[in-house]
Amino acid sequence: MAGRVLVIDDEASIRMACEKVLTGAGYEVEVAQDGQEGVEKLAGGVFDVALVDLKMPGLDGMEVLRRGLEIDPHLVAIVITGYPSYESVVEAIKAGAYDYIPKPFSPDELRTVVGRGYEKRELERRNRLLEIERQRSLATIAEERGRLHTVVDCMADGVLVTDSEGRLALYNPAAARWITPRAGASGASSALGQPLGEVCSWSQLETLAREAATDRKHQSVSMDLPRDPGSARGPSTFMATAAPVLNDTGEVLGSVIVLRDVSEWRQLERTRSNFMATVCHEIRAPLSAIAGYLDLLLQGLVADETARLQVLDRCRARAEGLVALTQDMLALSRLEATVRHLERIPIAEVMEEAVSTQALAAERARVTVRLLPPERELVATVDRYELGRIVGNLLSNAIKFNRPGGTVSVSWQAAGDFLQVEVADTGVGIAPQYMDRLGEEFFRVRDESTSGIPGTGLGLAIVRNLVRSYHGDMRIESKPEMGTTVRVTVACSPTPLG
Amino acid sequence: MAMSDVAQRRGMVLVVDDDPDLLEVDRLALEAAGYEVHTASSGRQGLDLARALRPDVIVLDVMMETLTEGFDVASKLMDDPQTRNIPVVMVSAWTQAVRVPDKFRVAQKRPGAGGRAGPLDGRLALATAYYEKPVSPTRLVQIVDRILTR
Repeated sequence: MAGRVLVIDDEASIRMACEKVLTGAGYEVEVAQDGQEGVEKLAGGVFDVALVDLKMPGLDGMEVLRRGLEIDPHLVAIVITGYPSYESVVEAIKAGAYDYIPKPFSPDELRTVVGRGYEKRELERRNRLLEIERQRSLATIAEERGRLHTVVDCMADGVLVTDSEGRLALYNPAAARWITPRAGASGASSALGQPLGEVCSWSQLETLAREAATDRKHQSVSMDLPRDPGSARGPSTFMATAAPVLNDTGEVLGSVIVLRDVSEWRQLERTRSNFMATVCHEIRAPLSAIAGYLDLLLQGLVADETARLQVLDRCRARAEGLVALTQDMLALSRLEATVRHLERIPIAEVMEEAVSTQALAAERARVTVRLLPPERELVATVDRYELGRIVGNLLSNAIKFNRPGGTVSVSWQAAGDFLQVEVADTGVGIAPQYMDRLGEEFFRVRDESTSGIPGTGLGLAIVRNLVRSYHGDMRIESKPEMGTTVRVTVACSPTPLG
Repeated sequence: MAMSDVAQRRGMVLVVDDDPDLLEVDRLALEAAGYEVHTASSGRQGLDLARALRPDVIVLDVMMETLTEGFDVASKLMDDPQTRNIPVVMVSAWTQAVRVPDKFRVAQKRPGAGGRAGPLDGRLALATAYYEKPVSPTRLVQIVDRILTR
């Protein structure tokens, strides 16, 4: 873009000469024939350079100079003077003029002076742009640093950064629990700038940081946290990932350590693996029995025909137990996966169905099952299969852990939004030391009173999980030799029928 | 009379297991091999019978009411001078490493400890042998035979 020049002179010949020379040099030129017109033109448009005659009638050159610089402080003003007096030039320069050119001047002189002025104007303009740019990027960097800080501070993982000397350079709140600030030289208590080993209670971290910074070692190690002072937390396991921090030329600036608490994950892993081991044990025991019996039969070690039939009967019973086990395990795993099919159903229907399913077992055990419905029939919103399963499992236990001639009573009633179901038996009861473990997966009371009673150890666990999924609970009261009463609640909005 | 002679010759075995069928299998197998067999369905009962009968061999299930009931029983047998020298065959259906009480740990595989390598194999100072279930009745008879003819 060409520079714009305004020539302010009362002499027409000077105006014309300047316009001709400067236009020829590639400038865009405008002229003003006195100070007043010059100021108006300066106010009306942007000029890079103004040539101002000092001696003009009306508004004189000095005044035009002052006003012009007020309008544009960066204006490059060059004064033209026919009477080159030292004083007037000094005054003009003091007032902000960039240069002067004495009359008469040659076209070359004019071009040189204006060219130099324009160049200065351009350089200043570029500087200003660069400065703006610089301010802008400084603001961006500050903003990004602030943002990064916020991100690091909000991380649930602990972050520790050291410099190349192993001094703590940064740590976030999640890592603060291992850092103890010390009084520094200034008296202020800070951990920053201190050797990591001196402010960090966890000595393994210092080793990791050192190995990252000196050997450029990237490593992820699982570490057990010693003791967490001032916290009620249990033992924790952390995954620590350490890496060197490099600059763009590949020099090591320090190290960064990220600490992730994997205790919960570990715990889940342990639970899963314990569960698997228990399942294997539960499957192996009956299989061992069946395999053992078959082995005896095949070797002809069970001579007597009656004994042979008894052995085969036991094989069948244990095989049935395995089938029941797989069904219960499926039921247990299905609890988390299935879509609940809720419908408004009469509760008595579900109860009668459950009783009829257990009728054969009850008859064999010579146990009487009594249904004690509430005065007014109830309907509730519940999954028929699930409620049936709850009552069925409780009934099955009440029959199995009963004695010949015993009874089981099933009663139910509405309690606010909850349906309360009670299954009471006159069976062998449960010793107090086992009460806490009831409902635990695969837990079974194993003593003289229960020996020979088949079961998977999952029945109550299924009931407990189902009931909890309906926001209810399971309570068990028992007296050894007297019997057991199990009471469950299920949120299903029961209302009287009708 | 003849049976009693055989029992006298071959010895007495106490089997402790909380699974009635496994007790029955072991009993049938060992009796057919000529042993006098006694069974106990709990650790407590097993201890009582061991002290009262002083069997020649005890076959002991590790996991009964608790994960390590068998170890508790074995530990008590070891502490009792009356039962200290009775060989114990430990049998377990538990596959995962259980917390083995320290007194049962030995630094190296115990020479002469029979059985195939299980997770606890060679780590039991007390038990003469450790086996993972299922141990077939035939195999059990072989194990007991070997211990008693050693």
